[in-house]
Amino acid sequence: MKKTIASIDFFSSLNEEHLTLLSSISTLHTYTKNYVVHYEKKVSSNLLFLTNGLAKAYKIDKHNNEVFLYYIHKNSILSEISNIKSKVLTSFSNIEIIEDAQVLSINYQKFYDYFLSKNLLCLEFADEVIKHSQYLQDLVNREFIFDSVAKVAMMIASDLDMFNKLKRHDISLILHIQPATLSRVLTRLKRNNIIDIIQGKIKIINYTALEAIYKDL
Amino acid sequence: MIKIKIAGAFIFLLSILLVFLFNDINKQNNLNNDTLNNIKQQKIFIQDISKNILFAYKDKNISNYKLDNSIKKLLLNISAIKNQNNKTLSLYSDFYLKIQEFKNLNKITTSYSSILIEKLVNNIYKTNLELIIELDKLISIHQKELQNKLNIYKNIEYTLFFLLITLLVYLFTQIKKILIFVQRFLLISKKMIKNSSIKNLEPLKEDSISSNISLYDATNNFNSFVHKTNASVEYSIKSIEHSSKSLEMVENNLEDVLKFLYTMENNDMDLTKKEDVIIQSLEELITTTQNLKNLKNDLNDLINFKS
Repeated sequence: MKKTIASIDFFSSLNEEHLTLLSSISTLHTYTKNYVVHYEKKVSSNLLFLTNGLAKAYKIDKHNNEVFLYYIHKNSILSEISNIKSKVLTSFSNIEIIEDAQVLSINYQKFYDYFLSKNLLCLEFADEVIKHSQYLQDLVNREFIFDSVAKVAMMIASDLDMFNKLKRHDISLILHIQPATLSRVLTRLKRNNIIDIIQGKIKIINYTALEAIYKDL
Repeated sequence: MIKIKIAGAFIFLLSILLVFLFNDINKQNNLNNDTLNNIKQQKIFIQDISKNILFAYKDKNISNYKLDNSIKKLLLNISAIKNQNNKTLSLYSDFYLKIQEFKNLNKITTSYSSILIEKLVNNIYKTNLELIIELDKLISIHQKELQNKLNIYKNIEYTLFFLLITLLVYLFTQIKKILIFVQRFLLISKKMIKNSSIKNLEPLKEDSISSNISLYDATNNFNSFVHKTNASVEYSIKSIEHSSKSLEMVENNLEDVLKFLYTMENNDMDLTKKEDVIIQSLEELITTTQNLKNLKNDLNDLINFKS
């Protein structure tokens, strides 16, 4: 447990004593793909860290459609911090495991008393909150600023591995566009010699032109 | 509804009027009975006085106590004949004076006074008879007056009672119409709930309730609501279908434009931007079509009361 905690960047500033203290208030869980770690609007007394694997945050609209928000990569906080003064955590979105994952669960109240209230890990904590804010900025860009071509271009440029790993249908769900539109955009990018499609996998030919599509907006 | 309110107000007023009338009749009856009793008592006292005068005339040694007592009672109840005719009053005065005269003369025992007392006793006896006849007449007049009054009161009572019954019958018929309307309304409401749908709602029939303006208005309002709901549901479904078809047509046209652009095989920036715009427009068209489908589903859920 202590080794796992020490391996997380977030806790790299802690000394041996603090690591032991943190281990005493933490538990380690392993979850398989498609497991929902927590549902939106639920209150939790534990702060969750994704130590390994991949998760996604999403919400459900009134027509029961899934609205993708962002991915959460390893070494990130899974929980959402909405109020620093509160002793409990209220989730804004649903968090689902995409790849088999290991999650570190820390008693939030004790964590607050032993560390945050003593000005330990405050910078790291603030950094995580900023990271979540960045996710939401990307979300605003994707949903309200970008058109379909820019959305696809940004995803290919920023996370090509993920793009090639996912099915086209899942990509269209994530980007909140129609599968037909995704197909049209890929055709348009290929025709303009920005990308190539080899056996269904995308290969970037002109990265600058690809980046220009969403950065020029 | 105004008619029912007016009928209700009349029933309330008539009920109060009847209560007052009953009360007044009771008071009048008591008053008349008291008057008649007093007159009858006067008769008894007069006869008692006459009788005691006769006894005192026959036996001079007899005490005047009984005579004085009867005179006292007569004077105490004199109010009963105060408002009577002049003849009765003059007879009373005459009778009283003769009694006083008798009392004075009866104390003297001369041969002349004996002649005068004999004459006076005869006069008292005559006056007594006349007074009794007059008081009998008075009693019969009072009884007749009382009977007449009672007859008038009875007629008024019967009229008011008949009016009350008529109003109650009218009220009942009006309420019956409202009950029929409510029953029909409930029946249609139950049908709506049973079918879990507001599609093809049935309007209320107007046949038997058309005479009542308020119910007629309520029926019309309900029917108007039903017609408008039916029309809105039909119009909304048609509009959504029409919009979906229009969007599909626009989508097909844009697809054609896009195909045309593909065939041009160009690297022109402007054309590429236009292509992006068309791709985005198609995306928005498909999204809008889907939103319309969602809207249609929502509408169907609303029509069929699904939550």
